[in-house]
Amino acid sequence: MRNTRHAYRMAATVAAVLLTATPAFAADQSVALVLGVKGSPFYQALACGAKAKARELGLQLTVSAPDQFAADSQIPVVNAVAATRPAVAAVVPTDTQALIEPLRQLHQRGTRVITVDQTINDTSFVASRIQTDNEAGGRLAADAMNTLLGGKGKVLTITQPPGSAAQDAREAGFRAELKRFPGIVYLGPQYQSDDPQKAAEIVTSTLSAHPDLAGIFATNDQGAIGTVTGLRQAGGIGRVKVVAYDAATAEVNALKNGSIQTLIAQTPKEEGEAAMQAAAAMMQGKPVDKVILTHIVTIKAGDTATADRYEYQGNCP
Amino acid sequence: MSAIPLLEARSVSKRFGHVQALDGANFSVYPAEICALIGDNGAGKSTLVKILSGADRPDTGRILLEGREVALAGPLAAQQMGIATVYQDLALAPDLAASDNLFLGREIVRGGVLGRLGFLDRREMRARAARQFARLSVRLRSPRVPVSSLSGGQRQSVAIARAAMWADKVIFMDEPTAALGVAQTARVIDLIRQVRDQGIAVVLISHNMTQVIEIADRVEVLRLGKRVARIDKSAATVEGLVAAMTSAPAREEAA
Amino acid sequence: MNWSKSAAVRESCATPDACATDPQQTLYERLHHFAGGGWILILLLVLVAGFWIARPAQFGSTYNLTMLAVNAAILLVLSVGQTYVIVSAGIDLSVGAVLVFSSVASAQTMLWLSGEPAGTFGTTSGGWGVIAAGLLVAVASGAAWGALNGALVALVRIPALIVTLGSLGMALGLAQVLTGGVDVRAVPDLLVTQVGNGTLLGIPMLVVIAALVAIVAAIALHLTRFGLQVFAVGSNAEAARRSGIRLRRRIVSVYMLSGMLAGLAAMMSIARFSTTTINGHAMDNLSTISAVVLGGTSLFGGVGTMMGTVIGVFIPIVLLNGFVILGIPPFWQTVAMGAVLILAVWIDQIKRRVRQG
Repeated sequence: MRNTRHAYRMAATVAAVLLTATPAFAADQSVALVLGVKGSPFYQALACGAKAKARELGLQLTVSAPDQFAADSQIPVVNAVAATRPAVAAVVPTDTQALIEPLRQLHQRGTRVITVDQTINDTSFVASRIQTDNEAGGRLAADAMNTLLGGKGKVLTITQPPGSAAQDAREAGFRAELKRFPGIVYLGPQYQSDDPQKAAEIVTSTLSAHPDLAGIFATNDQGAIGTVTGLRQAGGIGRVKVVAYDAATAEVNALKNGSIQTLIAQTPKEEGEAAMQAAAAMMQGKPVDKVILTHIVTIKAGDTATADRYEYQGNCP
Repeated sequence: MSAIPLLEARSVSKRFGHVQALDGANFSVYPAEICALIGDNGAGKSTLVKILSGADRPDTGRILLEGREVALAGPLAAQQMGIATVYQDLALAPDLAASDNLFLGREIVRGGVLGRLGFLDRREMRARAARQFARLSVRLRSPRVPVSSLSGGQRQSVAIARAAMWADKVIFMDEPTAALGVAQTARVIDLIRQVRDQGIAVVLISHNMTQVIEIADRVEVLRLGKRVARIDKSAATVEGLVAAMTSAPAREEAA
Repeated sequence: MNWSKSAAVRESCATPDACATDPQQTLYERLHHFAGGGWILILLLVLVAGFWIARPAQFGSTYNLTMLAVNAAILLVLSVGQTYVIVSAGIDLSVGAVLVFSSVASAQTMLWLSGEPAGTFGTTSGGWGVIAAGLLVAVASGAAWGALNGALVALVRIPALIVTLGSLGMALGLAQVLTGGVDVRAVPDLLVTQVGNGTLLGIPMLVVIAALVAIVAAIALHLTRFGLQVFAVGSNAEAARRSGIRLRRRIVSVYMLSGMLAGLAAMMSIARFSTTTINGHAMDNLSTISAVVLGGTSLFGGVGTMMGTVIGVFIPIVLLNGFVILGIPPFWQTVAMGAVLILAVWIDQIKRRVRQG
């Protein structure tokens, strides 16, 4: 029957493609990187930094990422990576608790585990943690906000719901530092789950409730983009000062055209590179620091050179 | 033909808003006969059938079953009294097989514990369905395929066979061959005759006068919500029927 | 009555009876129907074989095959409920949100019963009694949402798409209200170690639970009066009503079943992740629908098999797993998953048209 033969041919083609897709390399040479989510400028830049450094060090690197920044989406990916038994796995854990068991399984199967950017509650089996000092970043943001507002005004934070260690730390640092500025009224955090649309809605409704809102701190790139959109809809660009974490391309553009006044930039490229360097050291049996910090930078409006230098570069082969 | 009608409507009236659908209408059908109910559009045929099969209630008037007055609470109550309707849409579940359709709402369960849990006795359902089809000389392309893949005539046969299975007195059929081709129509007409021969009265609503003359034992004519003529088979002609439908005398003619 | 639609979607028939073209059903046809009646099983086997041959030690390792089943377990339980709903010609978009709400209600109950303060990390010492109470709360809240869905669909006659979209928002929102957006992270240790990571005769407990649910649901759907009436309602609701089937009762019970299974899945989720996952399960509703459709169930209702759903659940999971093991870049994975979904349904349609002659 024509259709059966047709289908068999299709099946054979699929099988052939799978077989020749990628070579199977020796497990003890390979490094796996699992990002927090697909399509994020920050994680794209991290991956680019890692890929470049891996090539330089001669490491076999595979990069994977889940569809959503959530444990139930990421764990099947981590499980699949564990099945390949890489020598080292660098993972951005999307939940401080739920990822403990899957990462422990990785470790039990002989892979050395590095956590990148985020962390988990039980780090007893984690060979190295690469992170930024998010709390310090939050404090830097508060200082910048204070400068922009001249010491007084109402301030809102737009962040991820609690449970993401990095974002929690940024908001905590921001809140703590704000206490030093008595003229600033902190309206507290509002939550959006990496949804610029939701962030925009939060901004417009907050402005309706508090027309005298003076400043917004967005703890990540998605929140920043949504904040700018919301301000544009409400006609608050320039009037409401924005301090945003991360330096994705959209944010850098917003800084250049005046929608955002200050950026707190991380260095995802550096985090990716650090992960690869740690992996290489581990594979050579050299000692590695338990905690590796990468630095953060405050970029003020008008400082185009720094903005360009720290912009998250997500395009790489 | 016995003197007492099997099912009778006396002076039934029904109004929908401004429209008087039935205005003191009468109707009678006797056991083991095919009675055609004809009338122009808007004459009140559907309303009358709905009331007689329990799908609606009259404003005034009486319904008598085997001479005794009854109040039909709903179509299911009517079915329990032996009255069923095969509507134009057939009310079959297209993805289910013929035997499943026959037992829709009356599925046979196994005995014992399994039965109480609701386990079906498919073998028994299939066997009884086969007997019913044989009784009515209905031959299906296959009893196991979904009824949607049967021809229009066979689907009609399944719907009629189902009505005949659960209603032992009167079956109303609304335009049973309207959508069928010549060969299928002939088979369905045979089936309708078989149903009558089983002792069940069939009330046929049809716009096809030739067909009415061919199969009906009697014809009752409705016009503007009233019965205006009762015509026996021997006296029926196409012209006569059309005339009765469209130009009614002031009073009802005697049977 | 739309006869053409059912003629086109005729395969994956409602009952074993309604399948064969010959009165005498051959063994081949019986197996064929059992396997979801489509190319889906073959596609799954081709994928598994392909990945296995490409990476035998990795894809084919016991660890990986076990994790595939574990990753499928929660989604399978949800998809079982969705199968019933879709067979009845409905749809349930609220499954993921009801899962989240039930997990939150259950976790908070268990935490409260075990006497530890909120905000605790790690696991609690709650015993099986506490866990049983949590399960009761989870299933009961799932049933409540399901009853709401069913009542709005059957009694108030709002389209199921709108109703379940609304209850999705309400359930998720209420879950966030109950917790302030913070996941409950202190769950009974027994639940995590014995159910989440435990095994029964070497098979992970979660897989055992999912398999039992699927088997019981399959038996109920294909062999009982309840199941046949669900098919009837999906095939022609008006005909079912006229035949005396209690239409509204059936519809409400189908949505309640979906909700209760979401509640069970919520417990499984807590056991697996040792936390509630308020921000997770966002795409579960679409995943269950595509699993059910991949498995050969018609979105118009009246036609489908539970086995098909089981296969449909595994296809995206095997795909993701194989792609990650092969190291295919993440964006290509997304493209490929979409293509496979279309390809699978397309092949199935070709096959049906051929059968129709």
